[in-house]
Amino acid sequence: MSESDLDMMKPETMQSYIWLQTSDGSLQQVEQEVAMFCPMICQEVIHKGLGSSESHPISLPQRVNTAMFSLVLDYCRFHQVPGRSNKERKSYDEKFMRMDTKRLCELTSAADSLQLKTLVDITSRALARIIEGKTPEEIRDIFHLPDDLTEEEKLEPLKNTMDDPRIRLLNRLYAKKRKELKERERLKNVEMGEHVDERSVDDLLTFINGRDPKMSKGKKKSKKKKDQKIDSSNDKEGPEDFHDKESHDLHSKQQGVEETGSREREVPEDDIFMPKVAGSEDGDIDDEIDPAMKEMLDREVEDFARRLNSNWVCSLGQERRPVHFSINSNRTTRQHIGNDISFFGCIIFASIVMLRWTDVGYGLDVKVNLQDTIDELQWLTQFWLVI
Amino acid sequence: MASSYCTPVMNQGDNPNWAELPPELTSSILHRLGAIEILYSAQKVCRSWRRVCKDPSMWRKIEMRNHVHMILSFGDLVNMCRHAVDLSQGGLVEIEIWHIATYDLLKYMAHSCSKLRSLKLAMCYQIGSEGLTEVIVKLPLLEVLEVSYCSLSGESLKVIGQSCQNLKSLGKNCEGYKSPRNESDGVALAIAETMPGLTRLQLFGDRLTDVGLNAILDSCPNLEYLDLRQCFIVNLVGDLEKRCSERIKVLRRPNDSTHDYPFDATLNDVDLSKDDYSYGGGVSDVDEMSEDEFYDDLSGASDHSDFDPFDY
Repeated sequence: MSESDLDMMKPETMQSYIWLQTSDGSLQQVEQEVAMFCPMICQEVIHKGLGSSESHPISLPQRVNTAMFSLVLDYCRFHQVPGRSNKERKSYDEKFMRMDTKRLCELTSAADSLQLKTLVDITSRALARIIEGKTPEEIRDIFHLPDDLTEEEKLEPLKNTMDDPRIRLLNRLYAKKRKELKERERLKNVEMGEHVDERSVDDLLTFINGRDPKMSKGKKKSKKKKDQKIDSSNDKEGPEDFHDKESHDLHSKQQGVEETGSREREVPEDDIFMPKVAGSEDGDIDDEIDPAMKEMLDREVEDFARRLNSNWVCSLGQERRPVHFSINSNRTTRQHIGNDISFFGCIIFASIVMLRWTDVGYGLDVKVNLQDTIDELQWLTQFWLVI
Repeated sequence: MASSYCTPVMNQGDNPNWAELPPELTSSILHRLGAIEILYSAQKVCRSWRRVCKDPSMWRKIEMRNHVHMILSFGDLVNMCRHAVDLSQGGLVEIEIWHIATYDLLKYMAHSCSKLRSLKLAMCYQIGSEGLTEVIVKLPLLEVLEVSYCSLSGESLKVIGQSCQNLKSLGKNCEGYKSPRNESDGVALAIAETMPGLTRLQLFGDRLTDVGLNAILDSCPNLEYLDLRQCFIVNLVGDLEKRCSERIKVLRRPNDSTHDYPFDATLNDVDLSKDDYSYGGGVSDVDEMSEDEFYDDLSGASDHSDFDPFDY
């Protein structure tokens, strides 16, 4: 046998290794296929011929210390094996990402300098997930970032433009939702809270909170229909395939505006089209009504919308028409209990009852569920008895 | 590189964890949060993050989706979007808006970013078909257009198709009906007539018939990806089925799973109490990227033992 053949048969040549030196000076010997998974190392080997011996190791970038390199190698070692399924890889990555934020940052940095794009991707995603949903203060806390911004810088860019009446209307709706959320919190601490209907709380909370697109569209629909009929899409509607909703727009816009207007009118001071004092909080408008009552009103309205919509979906099957909420001006006020809260309550109570019956009057194909109405009335009465 | 700040916020005199990351990396991480979160939280964390968040490169692609917190008013959100468009300094290339697109906002955007390549709108009830058309014809370089759960008529699509000659990918999604009463080839024929360059088409929940589908196949020779989920009028059998499966590389049929569809796929006329359709759990913006797509790149082997969504 020739000498070269003998050389070939030496066990060391069966597995080739690459020599690398981490930023903190440690010499490493890594299997070739594992190390070459990193594009940067690959380049150094191919273009510069480094790493083939202990005396000429590849110098790793500054951001790659021994600990980080070890993690990177673990990752490479797993993923460079070709036979693995996507599920396996995904599952490995999920486990792999579980580490404290400091190490996560370091790892992201190390992966970036080694040009290991896939690792950068998952570490970045993990970091973004950590940041997501947190306040600036919390973020500073987690990542030990300095608090070096001025107060002014912290407040921008939220400037309210109150010129567009449509936007104002929508702002009001949103403000209402916000208040509801707060009131819910407040009520939970008050004893009275136990008598609040749990079902609606959850409904509303899911309705307001985390509005993922994957959640029940039906609920979203009721809110959106309310919003949408209030808006004016200033165009002339042609034939189109979006469920006849838009054709009701112009017609319902007036009603919608009227409705919101009259809803606001329950609180005497406000008129939608009167220019409000610039910058005044939307919440001011609603201070007249007792918060608990206001909350109940809104909850009731949401409930009502949802019920009507779900009735339609089941009974009619195809057509979907906007919920017409017009409270007309000839509502009756029944006064049978003498104090302020009850008075307001009665107005609301009555208007809700009117709502149902006037809708029937408008000739919409609403299957008014009598039982529902009775249920609601009972529930409302229950609530008041508590007060 | 190591920076030490002598503020009481620092724990045990630690260096900031984040100091390890160069600005480009910070930028790409923060970008994943979506425009609203960047403007509302990220840019208020510290000076270096603020600098990164103000840089125009962060705003070349804008994604305004997540309104989870509802802390902000509608007007605020619209303002934020406007502000985001401003920050791009004309370099805006892609934008995706859910809910808050108004006519004024879109007009403003089209005016300052006429080089836009990708526009995706979803659940924008504040703008109608004509308004949308008016805006889109101002974007002649548009290559990707997705309009989901907004009003857009077949007529409008024709106008758009004639004006946006570079359109390669179109999505027009609406709520599906299991048994739709009225068929309509308005959309399909508009596409066939005016969008010959399409390579990717998504018509979720559309009411097109076989006629419409054939027209599309006739006119769009480059079509590679076709999503017809919840299009229950078209009948994908026999010759038509054959034609589709031969021509189209990635075909999503009417009854295919909707698990990777980003919107609520509940059918309008199906009893909600049935468990036929999966309601995905909450998905954060960060996770929206199709992870299976990601893993297809990693493995060299074509292992389709799991059900993977197709890579496209």
